[in-house]
Amino acid sequence: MTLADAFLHLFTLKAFAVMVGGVALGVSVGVLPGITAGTLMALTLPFTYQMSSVEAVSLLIAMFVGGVSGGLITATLMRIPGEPNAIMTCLDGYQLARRGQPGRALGLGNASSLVGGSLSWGALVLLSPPLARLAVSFGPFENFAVIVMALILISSLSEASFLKGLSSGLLGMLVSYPGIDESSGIVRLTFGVNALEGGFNSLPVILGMFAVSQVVADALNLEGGAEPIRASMRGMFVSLRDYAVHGWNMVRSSLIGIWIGILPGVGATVASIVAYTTAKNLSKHSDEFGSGSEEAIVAAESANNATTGGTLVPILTLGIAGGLTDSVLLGALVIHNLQPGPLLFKNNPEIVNTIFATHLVAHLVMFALMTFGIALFARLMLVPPAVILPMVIVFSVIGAFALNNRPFDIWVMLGFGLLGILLELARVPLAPFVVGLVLAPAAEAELRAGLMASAGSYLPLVQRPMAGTMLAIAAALFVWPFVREWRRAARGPAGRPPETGPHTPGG
Amino acid sequence: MIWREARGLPPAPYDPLGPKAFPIGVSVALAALGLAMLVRLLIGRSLGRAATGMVVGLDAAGDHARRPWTAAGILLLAFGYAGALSVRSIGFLPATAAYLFLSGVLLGPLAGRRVAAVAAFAVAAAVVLDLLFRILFRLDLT
Repeated sequence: MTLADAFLHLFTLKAFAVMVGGVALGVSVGVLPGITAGTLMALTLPFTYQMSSVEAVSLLIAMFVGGVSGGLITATLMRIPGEPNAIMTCLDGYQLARRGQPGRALGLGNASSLVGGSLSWGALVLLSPPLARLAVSFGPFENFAVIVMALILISSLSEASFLKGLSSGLLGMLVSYPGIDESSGIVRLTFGVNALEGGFNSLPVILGMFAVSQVVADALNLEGGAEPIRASMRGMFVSLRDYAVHGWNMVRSSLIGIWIGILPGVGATVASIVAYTTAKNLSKHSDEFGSGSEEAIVAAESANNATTGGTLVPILTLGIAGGLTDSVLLGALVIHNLQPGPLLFKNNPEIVNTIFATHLVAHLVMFALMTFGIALFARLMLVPPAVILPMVIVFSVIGAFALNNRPFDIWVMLGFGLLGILLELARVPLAPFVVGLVLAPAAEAELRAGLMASAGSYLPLVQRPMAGTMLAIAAALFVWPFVREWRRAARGPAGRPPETGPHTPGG
Repeated sequence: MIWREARGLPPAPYDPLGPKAFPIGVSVALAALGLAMLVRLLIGRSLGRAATGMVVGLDAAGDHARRPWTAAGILLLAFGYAGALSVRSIGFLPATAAYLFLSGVLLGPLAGRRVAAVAAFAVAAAVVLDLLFRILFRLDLT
């Protein structure tokens, strides 16, 4: 299936309905504060077993796009980020809406989301194939080195605590080991529990860590809501002049979003913050930021949608994921017996082209749905948590159970839900855990295959240029946080950056 | 524990690493990281915090009152629901209806009309879910 075929297939009735449904569901959960696109995708995974891989991937990508975009509505009308990445939109979108222009705020955000998403599609389609061609020449040692580098990169780049991030990744790896060792067929680490012979399936673990934890977090903050501002289609349409005025801001913020999206584990929230800050620093009207600035809305929304394409690049070309939603996407590919990474381009080009085509068309569908269905989506904010939260648990339970028809998976899900809450409370990042869980079997299989081929010699790990380079990068990334800390300590307290921002009392 | 369990595993033929090397290596690395974090804490260094939470709102206190007992109650009810589903004689429909009702009551104010509405929703949702998954998806939810 070529890219053109994938586009044509998307416009068949069933495929189009699946994609539109995915975008609509994604936007809907984006609107609902607390429930993220990642949660929705994790909840949907078990139900994709009934679908073909092409439909399942299309549905999940559509949800991903819809979810990233839907946060705009709640951020603008309630000053609550429906999705974490809409945090910067809250600042100015809500202020513009309060000044009587909710349609204008939503329209600008929606148009910026479309531009950001479309530009990131271009980056996805242009960057992925050459990177995959490079990666397809990798042998087992290179593949092992990529996974090691990814784990250390995610632990060091995305979060403030490197030690916690790395521990989280290693914990995820350990969770993947119980069960039958695929290389030797030996049952390991079951501790005498028969149910563990099948191992921990990644789906109940992911559902527990994100869906159950999220429900508990939402129950904790039940009274955090505000009275929503009413919205209609009025003002939703953005003129060509608006595109001309905000065009450069849209392109610049999109490029920031694409770049940050490609970096594992950084994600749309950071992209919108960086784009917002950049726009503010470069703006002639920086004093308006925070009080309903159109430039601010454009920057934040262009950037967070632009991460969607960037995020998919490392998943497709290297088989590595950094954040929650990309981890779920990675897990979905594995669950559907697809091997994420460069071989996907060779073995399953229909999946790659479906992802490309869905990514672009889903953005167009999202734009149309948000423009014409804004009043309907806005009403979702009124659905009480007493209805939504228990239903999320019920769907999680059904999803975990449906996997193998065994109650054990429900307990696994709840157990990992509890673990997710404890880790999150200790501010231990969860993304490395999921990446460790999903990638550990591949890392082990690759190294063992490589060592069998080299008669037990580890030398190819350092002698082969790509493997050696990636391990050197991994080593540098491992050492860098300690060097940075040592340098800060050597400079003394005066050399340290202020911890609470640039404002000092009286300043 | 993992280290001890993994050490007892037999080697695999033609495989220099075998099934125990990775679990042992990772558990030792994890133990070393745990030790490093303990040492940092003992010498008064901070462990740092994840820059962004992936579960929204678990640690970010806003200007509203937080409800830890409600959150704990929701988690306990979820465990109770799983327990009820494990007892085959209870069945999916009554377990789900009871869970949805109790959670709905826990999450909102205890007003008479509201409780009745929650009860109606719980029963209706449980029936719809039971029909949907048992008949349409042929899933044995028992």
